[in-house]
Amino acid sequence: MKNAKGLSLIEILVVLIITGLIAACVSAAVIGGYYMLKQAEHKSRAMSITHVKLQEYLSHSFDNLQPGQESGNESNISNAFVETQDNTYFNWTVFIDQDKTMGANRVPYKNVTVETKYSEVDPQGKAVNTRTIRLSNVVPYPLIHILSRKSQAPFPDGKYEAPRTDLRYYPGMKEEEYNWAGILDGAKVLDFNYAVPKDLIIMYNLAISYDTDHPPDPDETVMTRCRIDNGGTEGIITRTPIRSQVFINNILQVGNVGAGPHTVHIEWCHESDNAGVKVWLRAYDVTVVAVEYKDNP
Amino acid sequence: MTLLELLIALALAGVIFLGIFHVSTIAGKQIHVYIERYNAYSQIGYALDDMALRMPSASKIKTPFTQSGALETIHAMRFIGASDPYHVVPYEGDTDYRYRVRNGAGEDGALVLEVMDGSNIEKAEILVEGKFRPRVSFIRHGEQHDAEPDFMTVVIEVFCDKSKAIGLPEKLVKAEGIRFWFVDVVQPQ
Repeated sequence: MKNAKGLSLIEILVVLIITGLIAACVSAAVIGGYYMLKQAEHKSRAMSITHVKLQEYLSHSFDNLQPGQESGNESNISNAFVETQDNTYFNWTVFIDQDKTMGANRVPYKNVTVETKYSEVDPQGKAVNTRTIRLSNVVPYPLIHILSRKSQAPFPDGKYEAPRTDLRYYPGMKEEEYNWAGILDGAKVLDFNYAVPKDLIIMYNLAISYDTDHPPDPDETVMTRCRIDNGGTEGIITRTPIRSQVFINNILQVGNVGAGPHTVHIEWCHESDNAGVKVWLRAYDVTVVAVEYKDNP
Repeated sequence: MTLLELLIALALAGVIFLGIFHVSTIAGKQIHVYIERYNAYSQIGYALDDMALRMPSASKIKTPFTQSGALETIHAMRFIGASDPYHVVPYEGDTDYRYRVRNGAGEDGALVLEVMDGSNIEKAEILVEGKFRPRVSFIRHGEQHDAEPDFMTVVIEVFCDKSKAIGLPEKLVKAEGIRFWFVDVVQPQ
Protein backbone atom coordinates (compact mmCIF):
# COMPACT_ATOMS: atom_id res chain seq x y z
CA MET A 1 0.00 0.00 0.00
CA LYS A 2 2.81 2.45 0.83
CA ASN A 3 4.19 2.25 -2.72
CA ALA A 4 0.76 2.59 -4.41
CA LYS A 5 0.61 5.39 -7.04
CA GLY A 6 -1.99 8.25 -6.68
CA LEU A 7 -2.54 11.72 -5.34
CA SER A 8 -1.47 12.59 -1.83
CA LEU A 9 -3.68 14.76 0.40
CA ILE A 10 -1.12 17.57 0.10
CA GLU A 11 -1.41 17.51 -3.68
CA ILE A 12 -5.21 17.60 -3.54
CA LEU A 13 -5.13 20.48 -1.04
CA VAL A 14 -2.75 22.43 -3.28
CA VAL A 15 -5.08 21.88 -6.24
CA LEU A 16 -8.07 22.96 -4.13
CA ILE A 17 -6.30 26.09 -2.89
CA ILE A 18 -5.39 27.07 -6.45
CA THR A 19 -8.96 26.39 -7.57
CA GLY A 20 -10.25 28.42 -4.62
CA LEU A 21 -8.02 31.33 -5.54
CA ILE A 22 -9.30 31.28 -9.10
CA ALA A 23 -12.90 31.16 -7.84
CA ALA A 24 -12.21 34.10 -5.52
CA CYS A 25 -10.83 36.11 -8.45
CA VAL A 26 -13.87 35.29 -10.58
CA SER A 27 -16.28 36.25 -7.82
CA ALA A 28 -14.36 39.48 -7.23
CA ALA A 29 -14.71 40.23 -10.93
CA VAL A 30 -18.43 39.46 -10.76
CA ILE A 31 -18.97 41.73 -7.75
CA GLY A 32 -16.69 44.39 -9.20
CA GLY A 33 -18.57 44.23 -12.49
CA TYR A 34 -21.83 44.80 -10.65
CA TYR A 35 -20.54 47.96 -8.98
CA MET A 36 -18.93 49.20 -12.16
CA LEU A 37 -22.29 48.80 -13.90
CA LYS A 38 -23.95 50.72 -11.08
CA GLN A 39 -21.33 53.46 -11.38
CA ALA A 40 -21.86 53.71 -15.13
CA GLU A 41 -25.63 53.88 -14.66
CA HIS A 42 -25.29 56.56 -12.00
CA LYS A 43 -23.07 58.58 -14.30
CA SER A 44 -25.56 58.18 -17.15
CA ARG A 45 -28.41 59.24 -14.86
CA ALA A 46 -26.48 62.26 -13.61
CA MET A 47 -25.69 63.21 -17.20
CA SER A 48 -29.36 62.87 -18.16
CA ILE A 49 -30.48 65.12 -15.26
CA THR A 50 -27.75 67.67 -15.96
CA HIS A 51 -28.53 67.82 -19.66
CA VAL A 52 -32.27 68.28 -19.10
CA LYS A 53 -31.67 71.18 -16.71
CA LEU A 54 -29.10 72.76 -19.02
CA GLN A 55 -31.50 72.59 -21.97
CA GLU A 56 -34.26 74.03 -19.80
CA TYR A 57 -32.17 77.06 -18.83
CA LEU A 58 -30.77 77.55 -22.33
CA SER A 59 -34.35 77.83 -23.57
CA HIS A 60 -34.75 81.06 -21.59
CA SER A 61 -34.16 84.34 -23.35
CA PHE A 62 -31.15 86.46 -22.37
CA ASP A 63 -33.24 88.88 -20.31
CA ASN A 64 -35.12 86.11 -18.49
CA LEU A 65 -31.93 84.54 -17.16
CA GLN A 66 -31.21 86.28 -13.89
CA PRO A 67 -27.71 85.83 -12.43
CA GLY A 68 -27.78 83.64 -9.34
CA GLN A 69 -28.25 79.99 -8.57
CA GLU A 70 -31.06 77.52 -8.17
CA SER A 71 -31.02 73.95 -6.97
CA GLY A 72 -33.23 70.91 -6.73
CA ASN A 73 -33.23 67.17 -7.09
CA GLU A 74 -34.27 64.54 -9.60
CA SER A 75 -37.92 64.70 -8.50
CA ASN A 76 -38.12 68.12 -10.19
CA ILE A 77 -37.66 66.43 -13.55
CA SER A 78 -39.91 63.40 -13.33
CA ASN A 79 -41.37 61.09 -10.73
CA ALA A 80 -39.92 58.23 -12.76
CA PHE A 81 -36.53 59.18 -11.37
CA VAL A 82 -37.87 58.96 -7.82
CA GLU A 83 -39.47 55.57 -8.47
CA THR A 84 -36.15 54.14 -9.64
CA GLN A 85 -33.96 55.54 -6.86
CA ASP A 86 -31.53 53.17 -5.20
CA ASN A 87 -29.61 54.62 -2.26
CA THR A 88 -27.92 57.21 -4.44
CA TYR A 89 -29.48 60.67 -4.57
CA PHE A 90 -28.91 63.27 -7.23
CA ASN A 91 -28.97 67.00 -6.54
CA TRP A 92 -28.59 69.57 -9.27
CA THR A 93 -27.55 73.21 -9.01
CA VAL A 94 -27.74 75.78 -11.78
CA PHE A 95 -25.33 78.72 -11.69
CA ILE A 96 -26.00 81.72 -13.91
CA ASP A 97 -23.48 84.50 -14.22
CA GLN A 98 -22.94 87.31 -16.66
CA ASP A 99 -19.76 88.18 -18.47
CA LYS A 100 -18.58 90.03 -21.56
CA THR A 101 -16.47 88.99 -24.50
CA MET A 102 -13.07 90.48 -25.16
CA GLY A 103 -12.66 93.00 -27.97
CA ALA A 104 -13.98 96.45 -28.72
CA ASN A 105 -17.70 95.75 -28.48
CA ARG A 106 -17.55 93.66 -25.27
CA VAL A 107 -20.71 91.71 -26.09
CA PRO A 108 -22.40 90.41 -22.92
CA TYR A 109 -23.37 86.79 -22.48
CA LYS A 110 -24.81 84.70 -19.70
CA ASN A 111 -22.99 81.60 -18.66
CA VAL A 112 -25.20 78.70 -17.55
CA THR A 113 -23.50 75.92 -15.61
CA VAL A 114 -25.38 72.91 -14.28
CA GLU A 115 -23.78 70.67 -11.68
CA THR A 116 -25.26 67.38 -10.55
CA LYS A 117 -23.75 65.84 -7.43
CA TYR A 118 -24.29 62.31 -6.15
CA SER A 119 -22.56 60.08 -3.62
CA GLU A 120 -21.30 56.73 -4.72
CA VAL A 121 -21.34 53.79 -2.33
CA ASP A 122 -18.84 50.98 -2.00
CA PRO A 123 -19.81 47.28 -1.92
CA GLN A 124 -20.38 47.60 1.87
CA GLY A 125 -22.93 50.35 1.25
CA LYS A 126 -20.80 53.19 2.62
CA ALA A 127 -20.69 56.47 0.77
CA VAL A 128 -17.18 56.88 -0.51
CA ASN A 129 -17.04 59.54 -3.16
CA THR A 130 -19.09 62.53 -4.11
CA ARG A 131 -19.16 62.64 -7.87
CA THR A 132 -20.01 65.71 -9.92
CA ILE A 133 -21.16 66.05 -13.50
CA ARG A 134 -20.85 69.57 -14.80
CA LEU A 135 -22.10 70.98 -18.11
CA SER A 136 -21.90 74.58 -19.29
CA ASN A 137 -23.12 76.67 -22.17
CA VAL A 138 -23.78 80.33 -22.89
CA VAL A 139 -26.79 82.40 -23.88
CA PRO A 140 -25.41 85.29 -25.94
CA TYR A 141 -26.73 88.84 -26.07
CA PRO A 142 -29.28 88.93 -28.90
CA LEU A 143 -27.99 90.09 -32.27
CA ILE A 144 -31.30 91.72 -33.11
CA HIS A 145 -33.67 93.72 -30.92
CA ILE A 146 -37.04 95.01 -31.99
CA LEU A 147 -38.79 97.87 -30.21
CA SER A 148 -42.24 99.09 -31.02
CA ARG A 149 -44.67 101.66 -29.72
CA LYS A 150 -48.03 102.76 -31.01
CA SER A 151 -51.08 104.72 -29.97
CA GLN A 152 -53.62 102.46 -28.28
CA ALA A 153 -56.68 104.21 -29.70
CA PRO A 154 -57.18 107.09 -32.18
CA PHE A 155 -56.48 110.43 -30.53
CA PRO A 156 -59.39 112.87 -30.39
CA ASP A 157 -59.14 115.93 -32.60
CA GLY A 158 -57.16 118.68 -30.95
CA LYS A 159 -55.14 116.50 -28.55
CA TYR A 160 -51.82 116.77 -30.40
CA GLU A 161 -51.57 119.65 -32.83
CA ALA A 162 -48.78 120.14 -35.36
CA PRO A 163 -46.80 123.37 -34.76
CA ARG A 164 -47.15 125.79 -37.63
CA THR A 165 -44.46 127.50 -39.60
CA ASP A 166 -45.47 130.55 -41.62
CA LEU A 167 -42.80 129.95 -44.18
CA ARG A 168 -43.48 127.75 -47.15
CA TYR A 169 -40.77 125.19 -47.70
CA TYR A 170 -37.84 126.21 -49.88
CA PRO A 171 -34.64 124.28 -50.63
CA GLY A 172 -32.00 125.09 -48.04
CA MET A 173 -34.57 126.01 -45.40
CA LYS A 174 -32.84 126.80 -42.11
CA GLU A 175 -33.30 124.64 -39.03
CA GLU A 176 -34.94 127.37 -36.96
CA GLU A 177 -37.43 128.14 -39.74
CA TYR A 178 -39.15 124.77 -39.48
CA ASN A 179 -40.57 125.20 -35.94
CA TRP A 180 -40.17 121.50 -35.16
CA ALA A 181 -41.88 119.89 -32.15
CA GLY A 182 -42.40 116.33 -30.97
CA ILE A 183 -45.56 114.59 -32.17
CA LEU A 184 -46.48 113.85 -28.53
CA ASP A 185 -46.26 116.05 -25.45
CA GLY A 186 -42.69 115.01 -24.65
CA ALA A 187 -39.90 115.20 -27.17
CA LYS A 188 -39.28 111.44 -27.35
CA VAL A 189 -41.56 108.66 -28.57
CA LEU A 190 -39.46 105.82 -27.22
CA ASP A 191 -36.11 105.08 -25.65
CA PHE A 192 -33.69 102.16 -25.64
CA ASN A 193 -30.58 101.05 -23.85
CA TYR A 194 -28.50 98.38 -25.57
CA ALA A 195 -25.29 96.95 -24.22
CA VAL A 196 -23.48 97.10 -27.56
CA PRO A 197 -23.36 99.56 -30.49
CA LYS A 198 -26.23 99.04 -32.90
CA ASP A 199 -27.24 99.81 -36.45
CA LEU A 200 -30.86 100.95 -36.43
CA ILE A 201 -33.69 100.79 -38.91
CA ILE A 202 -36.45 103.13 -37.76
CA MET A 203 -39.91 102.98 -39.29
CA TYR A 204 -42.73 105.28 -38.34
CA ASN A 205 -46.28 105.82 -39.55
CA LEU A 206 -48.45 108.78 -38.64
CA ALA A 207 -52.13 109.26 -39.34
CA ILE A 208 -53.29 112.85 -39.27
CA SER A 209 -56.58 114.71 -39.42
CA TYR A 210 -57.48 118.34 -39.88
CA ASP A 211 -60.22 120.74 -38.97
CA THR A 212 -62.76 120.30 -41.78
CA ASP A 213 -64.32 123.67 -41.00
CA HIS A 214 -61.01 125.27 -41.96
CA PRO A 215 -59.45 122.87 -44.47
CA PRO A 216 -55.84 123.37 -45.57
CA ASP A 217 -54.98 124.50 -49.09
CA PRO A 218 -54.28 121.59 -51.43
CA ASP A 219 -50.56 122.38 -51.43
CA GLU A 220 -50.19 122.73 -47.66
CA THR A 221 -47.94 120.06 -46.23
CA VAL A 222 -46.87 118.44 -43.01
CA MET A 223 -43.18 117.71 -42.60
CA THR A 224 -41.79 115.02 -40.28
CA ARG A 225 -38.35 113.92 -39.27
CA CYS A 226 -36.59 111.58 -36.84
CA ARG A 227 -33.76 112.36 -34.47
CA ILE A 228 -31.74 110.28 -32.04
CA ASP A 229 -31.22 112.07 -28.71
CA ASN A 230 -30.60 115.74 -29.52
CA GLY A 231 -28.74 115.09 -32.75
CA GLY A 232 -29.57 116.29 -36.23
CA THR A 233 -32.11 114.91 -38.65
CA GLU A 234 -31.57 111.25 -39.46
CA GLY A 235 -32.53 110.04 -42.92
CA ILE A 236 -34.86 112.29 -44.85
CA ILE A 237 -37.50 114.89 -43.93
CA THR A 238 -40.89 113.85 -45.28
CA ARG A 239 -43.11 116.49 -46.85
CA THR A 240 -46.65 115.27 -47.30
CA PRO A 241 -49.68 117.12 -48.72
CA ILE A 242 -52.32 117.12 -46.01
CA ARG A 243 -55.55 116.93 -47.96
CA SER A 244 -54.53 114.20 -50.36
CA GLN A 245 -52.44 112.04 -48.00
CA VAL A 246 -53.39 111.73 -44.36
CA PHE A 247 -50.94 108.87 -43.77
CA ILE A 248 -47.24 109.61 -43.47
CA ASN A 249 -44.58 106.87 -43.59
CA ASN A 250 -40.84 107.07 -43.23
CA ILE A 251 -38.07 104.48 -43.00
CA LEU A 252 -34.54 105.46 -42.16
CA GLN A 253 -31.26 103.90 -41.17
CA VAL A 254 -28.94 105.07 -38.41
CA GLY A 255 -25.52 103.47 -38.24
CA ASN A 256 -23.33 102.75 -35.22
CA VAL A 257 -25.43 104.11 -32.36
CA GLY A 258 -23.26 103.70 -29.28
CA ALA A 259 -24.07 101.44 -26.34
CA GLY A 260 -26.11 103.01 -23.54
CA PRO A 261 -29.37 104.94 -23.21
CA HIS A 262 -30.79 106.81 -26.21
CA THR A 263 -34.08 108.38 -27.19
CA VAL A 264 -35.95 108.43 -30.49
CA HIS A 265 -37.73 111.67 -31.36
CA ILE A 266 -40.33 111.97 -34.09
CA GLU A 267 -41.02 115.61 -34.83
CA TRP A 268 -43.33 117.44 -37.15
CA CYS A 269 -44.37 120.86 -38.37
CA HIS A 270 -47.17 122.17 -40.54
CA GLU A 271 -46.31 124.68 -43.26
CA SER A 272 -49.16 127.12 -43.56
CA ASP A 273 -49.56 130.85 -43.57
CA ASN A 274 -53.15 130.45 -42.41
CA ALA A 275 -53.39 130.37 -38.61
CA GLY A 276 -56.91 128.95 -38.75
CA VAL A 277 -55.85 125.63 -40.23
CA LYS A 278 -55.29 122.96 -37.60
CA VAL A 279 -53.59 119.60 -38.19
CA TRP A 280 -53.89 116.94 -35.52
CA LEU A 281 -52.32 113.57 -34.82
CA ARG A 282 -54.80 110.72 -35.18
CA ALA A 283 -52.54 107.74 -34.51
CA TYR A 284 -48.90 106.70 -34.69
CA ASP A 285 -46.65 103.69 -34.55
CA VAL A 286 -42.89 103.51 -34.39
CA THR A 287 -40.75 100.39 -34.84
CA VAL A 288 -37.01 100.21 -34.29
CA VAL A 289 -35.01 97.22 -35.50
CA ALA A 290 -31.59 97.27 -33.87
CA VAL A 291 -28.88 95.01 -35.30
CA GLU A 292 -25.49 94.58 -33.68
CA TYR A 293 -22.99 96.98 -35.23
CA LYS A 294 -19.98 95.28 -36.81
CA ASP A 295 -16.75 97.10 -37.57
CA ASN A 296 -16.07 94.86 -40.53
CA PRO A 297 -19.34 93.62 -41.91
CA MET B 1 -4.47 7.82 0.69
CA THR B 2 -6.73 6.77 3.47
CA LEU B 3 -10.50 6.69 3.21
CA LEU B 4 -10.67 9.68 5.54
CA GLU B 5 -8.34 11.68 3.29
CA LEU B 6 -10.39 10.73 0.28
CA LEU B 7 -13.63 11.85 1.95
CA ILE B 8 -12.14 15.18 3.00
CA ALA B 9 -10.80 15.74 -0.50
CA LEU B 10 -14.15 14.87 -2.06
CA ALA B 11 -16.04 17.16 0.31
CA LEU B 12 -13.68 20.07 -0.34
CA ALA B 13 -13.73 19.45 -4.07
CA GLY B 14 -17.53 19.35 -3.99
CA VAL B 15 -17.72 22.67 -2.17
CA ILE B 16 -15.24 24.33 -4.53
CA PHE B 17 -16.88 22.99 -7.66
CA LEU B 18 -20.29 24.04 -6.35
CA GLY B 19 -18.85 27.51 -5.73
CA ILE B 20 -17.39 27.66 -9.23
CA PHE B 21 -20.69 26.55 -10.72
CA HIS B 22 -22.61 29.12 -8.70
CA VAL B 23 -20.22 31.94 -9.54
CA SER B 24 -20.26 31.05 -13.23
CA THR B 25 -24.05 30.93 -13.23
CA ILE B 26 -24.20 34.38 -11.63
CA ALA B 27 -21.54 35.65 -14.03
CA GLY B 28 -23.52 34.26 -16.96
CA LYS B 29 -26.72 35.89 -15.70
CA GLN B 30 -24.88 39.13 -15.10
CA ILE B 31 -23.48 39.19 -18.61
CA HIS B 32 -26.93 38.49 -19.99
CA VAL B 33 -28.52 41.25 -17.89
CA TYR B 34 -25.73 43.70 -18.73
CA ILE B 35 -26.25 43.08 -22.44
CA GLU B 36 -29.99 43.52 -22.04
CA ARG B 37 -29.60 46.76 -20.07
CA TYR B 38 -27.04 48.07 -22.52
CA ASN B 39 -29.45 47.25 -25.32
CA ALA B 40 -32.31 49.01 -23.51
CA TYR B 41 -30.20 52.11 -22.77
CA SER B 42 -29.07 52.21 -26.40
CA GLN B 43 -32.65 52.07 -27.61
CA ILE B 44 -33.77 54.78 -25.17
CA GLY B 45 -30.81 56.92 -26.24
CA TYR B 46 -31.68 56.37 -29.89
CA ALA B 47 -35.33 57.32 -29.29
CA LEU B 48 -34.41 60.50 -27.38
CA ASP B 49 -31.84 61.47 -30.03
CA ASP B 50 -34.48 60.97 -32.71
CA MET B 51 -36.90 63.25 -30.83
CA ALA B 52 -34.22 65.85 -30.16
CA LEU B 53 -33.43 65.83 -33.86
CA ARG B 54 -36.95 66.09 -35.28
CA MET B 55 -38.87 68.17 -32.76
CA PRO B 56 -36.84 71.40 -32.99
CA SER B 57 -38.01 71.74 -36.61
CA ALA B 58 -41.68 71.25 -35.74
CA SER B 59 -43.85 73.84 -37.41
CA LYS B 60 -47.16 72.69 -35.98
CA ILE B 61 -48.11 70.66 -32.93
CA LYS B 62 -51.11 68.41 -33.58
CA THR B 63 -51.26 66.83 -30.12
CA PRO B 64 -50.86 69.93 -28.00
CA PHE B 65 -50.62 70.53 -24.31
CA THR B 66 -53.81 72.24 -23.28
CA GLN B 67 -53.19 73.80 -19.87
CA SER B 68 -51.11 76.88 -20.37
CA GLY B 69 -50.07 77.43 -16.75
CA ALA B 70 -49.94 73.95 -15.28
CA LEU B 71 -47.67 70.93 -15.14
CA GLU B 72 -49.00 68.61 -17.81
CA THR B 73 -47.97 65.22 -19.13
CA ILE B 74 -49.06 63.58 -22.37
CA HIS B 75 -48.02 60.18 -23.69
CA ALA B 76 -48.11 60.68 -27.45
CA MET B 77 -46.88 63.55 -29.54
CA ARG B 78 -48.02 64.31 -33.06
CA PHE B 79 -46.54 67.21 -34.96
CA ILE B 80 -45.73 68.54 -38.41
CA GLY B 81 -41.98 68.55 -38.85
CA ALA B 82 -39.35 68.77 -41.55
CA SER B 83 -39.12 65.73 -43.81
CA ASP B 84 -35.36 66.02 -43.70
CA PRO B 85 -34.38 67.21 -40.21
CA TYR B 86 -30.86 67.92 -41.48
CA HIS B 87 -32.20 70.37 -44.07
CA VAL B 88 -34.96 72.40 -42.49
CA VAL B 89 -37.00 74.62 -44.78
CA PRO B 90 -40.16 76.11 -43.23
CA TYR B 91 -43.40 74.72 -44.65
CA GLU B 92 -41.67 72.81 -47.42
CA GLY B 93 -41.66 69.04 -47.54
CA ASP B 94 -43.42 68.77 -44.20
CA THR B 95 -44.15 65.41 -42.66
CA ASP B 96 -46.79 64.41 -40.13
CA TYR B 97 -44.92 62.58 -37.35
CA ARG B 98 -46.26 60.77 -34.32
CA TYR B 99 -44.38 59.30 -31.37
CA ARG B 100 -46.39 56.83 -29.34
CA VAL B 101 -46.30 53.49 -27.60
CA ARG B 102 -48.22 50.87 -29.57
CA ASN B 103 -50.32 49.69 -26.65
CA GLY B 104 -53.66 49.14 -28.35
CA ALA B 105 -55.33 45.75 -28.63
CA GLY B 106 -53.11 43.28 -30.48
CA GLU B 107 -50.21 45.73 -30.65
CA ASP B 108 -46.65 44.90 -29.65
CA GLY B 109 -46.08 47.63 -27.02
CA ALA B 110 -43.11 49.15 -28.85
CA LEU B 111 -42.27 52.87 -28.81
CA VAL B 112 -42.49 53.94 -32.42
CA LEU B 113 -42.09 56.89 -34.72
CA GLU B 114 -44.92 56.86 -37.23
CA VAL B 115 -45.26 58.89 -40.40
CA MET B 116 -48.94 59.66 -40.74
CA ASP B 117 -51.15 60.37 -43.72
CA GLY B 118 -54.39 61.54 -42.17
CA SER B 119 -55.47 58.65 -39.97
CA ASN B 120 -53.36 56.09 -41.88
CA ILE B 121 -49.90 55.07 -40.78
CA GLU B 122 -47.64 55.37 -43.81
CA LYS B 123 -44.47 54.17 -42.18
CA ALA B 124 -43.42 53.12 -38.69
CA GLU B 125 -40.00 52.81 -37.15
CA ILE B 126 -39.48 50.94 -33.90
CA LEU B 127 -37.41 53.03 -31.51
CA VAL B 128 -37.71 50.86 -28.38
CA GLU B 129 -38.77 47.23 -28.65
CA GLY B 130 -41.99 46.09 -27.05
CA LYS B 131 -40.20 43.49 -24.91
CA PHE B 132 -38.88 46.38 -22.78
CA ARG B 133 -42.44 47.62 -22.14
CA PRO B 134 -41.51 51.28 -22.84
CA ARG B 135 -43.46 54.28 -21.53
CA VAL B 136 -42.96 57.75 -22.88
CA SER B 137 -43.99 60.99 -21.16
CA PHE B 138 -43.87 64.44 -22.71
CA ILE B 139 -43.87 66.82 -19.76
CA ARG B 140 -44.44 70.52 -19.87
CA HIS B 141 -43.49 72.04 -16.56
CA GLY B 142 -45.81 75.00 -16.76
CA GLU B 143 -45.37 78.60 -15.85
CA GLN B 144 -45.15 78.00 -12.11
CA HIS B 145 -41.80 76.35 -12.83
CA ASP B 146 -40.72 79.35 -14.88
CA ALA B 147 -40.49 77.14 -17.97
CA GLU B 148 -40.50 78.58 -21.45
CA PRO B 149 -43.56 77.70 -23.52
CA ASP B 150 -41.51 76.02 -26.24
CA PHE B 151 -39.68 73.70 -23.86
CA MET B 152 -40.61 70.26 -22.61
CA THR B 153 -39.00 67.25 -20.99
CA VAL B 154 -39.29 63.82 -22.55
CA VAL B 155 -38.92 60.87 -20.18
CA ILE B 156 -38.67 57.29 -21.40
CA GLU B 157 -39.02 54.40 -18.96
CA VAL B 158 -38.40 50.76 -19.83
CA PHE B 159 -38.35 47.48 -17.92
CA CYS B 160 -35.57 44.87 -17.96
CA ASP B 161 -37.33 41.92 -16.37
CA LYS B 162 -34.24 39.83 -15.71
CA SER B 163 -32.43 42.56 -13.79
CA LYS B 164 -34.08 41.63 -10.50
CA ALA B 165 -32.29 38.27 -10.58
CA ILE B 166 -28.99 40.00 -9.87
CA GLY B 167 -30.37 42.70 -7.57
CA LEU B 168 -30.63 45.56 -10.03
CA PRO B 169 -33.77 47.69 -10.47
CA GLU B 170 -35.99 46.54 -13.32
CA LYS B 171 -36.97 50.02 -14.42
CA LEU B 172 -34.56 52.17 -16.42
CA VAL B 173 -35.20 55.88 -16.95
CA LYS B 174 -33.64 58.49 -19.16
CA ALA B 175 -34.77 62.03 -19.94
CA GLU B 176 -34.03 64.77 -22.42
CA GLY B 177 -34.94 68.46 -22.53
CA ILE B 178 -36.32 69.46 -25.93
CA ARG B 179 -37.05 72.84 -27.40
CA PHE B 180 -39.29 73.54 -30.34
CA TRP B 181 -38.36 75.86 -33.13
CA PHE B 182 -41.03 78.51 -33.47
CA VAL B 183 -43.99 76.68 -32.04
CA ASP B 184 -45.61 77.27 -28.70
CA VAL B 185 -46.37 73.75 -27.51
CA VAL B 186 -49.24 75.10 -25.46
CA GLN B 187 -52.36 75.65 -27.50
CA PRO B 188 -55.34 76.20 -25.18
CA GLN B 189 -58.51 74.74 -26.64
